[in-house]
Amino acid sequence: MTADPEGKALAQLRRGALENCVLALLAEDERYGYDLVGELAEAGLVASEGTVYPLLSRLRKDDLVTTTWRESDAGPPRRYYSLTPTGRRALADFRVAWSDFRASVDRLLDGKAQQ
Amino acid sequence: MMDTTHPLITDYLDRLRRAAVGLPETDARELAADIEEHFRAATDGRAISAAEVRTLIDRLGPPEDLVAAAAPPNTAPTTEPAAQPRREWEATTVAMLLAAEVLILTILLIPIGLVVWVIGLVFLARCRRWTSSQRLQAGLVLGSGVPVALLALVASGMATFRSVSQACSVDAAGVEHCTGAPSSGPAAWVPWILAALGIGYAVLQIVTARRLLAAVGEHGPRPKGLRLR
Repeated sequence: MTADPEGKALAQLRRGALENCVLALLAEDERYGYDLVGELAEAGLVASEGTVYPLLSRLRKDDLVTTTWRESDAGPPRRYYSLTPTGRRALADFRVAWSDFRASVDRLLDGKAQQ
Repeated sequence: MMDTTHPLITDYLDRLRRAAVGLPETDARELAADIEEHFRAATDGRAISAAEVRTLIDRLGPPEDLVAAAAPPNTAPTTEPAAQPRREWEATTVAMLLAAEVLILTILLIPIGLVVWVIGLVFLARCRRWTSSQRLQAGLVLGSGVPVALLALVASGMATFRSVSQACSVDAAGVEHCTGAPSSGPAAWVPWILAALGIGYAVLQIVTARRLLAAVGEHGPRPKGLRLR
């Protein structure tokens, strides 16, 4: 754990946005849990890949995502995640909220920079 | 075939299961199954080196972090309470104040009624989602129930005493003579007026209780949450 305030701010931002980034990734196509985790890690959105799984399970309980088991070429069946209609609506709401939020923060940050 | 049986992986899964004992059983089982599947997908049935397994484990993060992420989010702010304010505290307060009043009227349970009343008043002082004027209103209309009930009991007790202390006899001429209290007692309509006042008071209490409960959170501090607009 770092006491670095910059790292802390980033962690908080990640935490707030991660859930909706998962929804955004699933909006394109259904995904295998392992691939989803890999993509989020690659995008720099998660520090510990393992913490994505509890998040996915919570999204499933909240009926934002749903899972289906599919046969795989090698090994046991795999669990695929996809968006529910509720998840789609939640993502649409977040898109609006996020663009407003980003505009507000940008305005404040730019304002401070100019002074 | 390299599977999730690598000693480092087995060790990680054991640590995860031990760390997850505090979680609800289904959550703990699901988390372990998800991580096991993650390892299976990562190794994909091929042999991988100990170094690769270590990288996998490092990227997953410590089992304790995973369990913390799976724990119910009691500190995470949500916007739900703002939409549907929780009013258990206020409802309990109202129920206690009204129940105390009913307990007093049973006469036998007066001590319990008094205790419930005092606790109800303490609760009322802590109903922070009501404004101070709403709390005052609750105190005056609902909190006054116990004193009013006690007064009503004393009044009816006195009336009963007056009527029983009257001793009447009929003389040989058939004329009734009463002693102890004047025969011109309280007029017959007085009990009816008192009964009407009692019913009116009860209705006022119920209406006030409903209105105050509906107003919970309208003026009080909103629960903390991310407000974007």
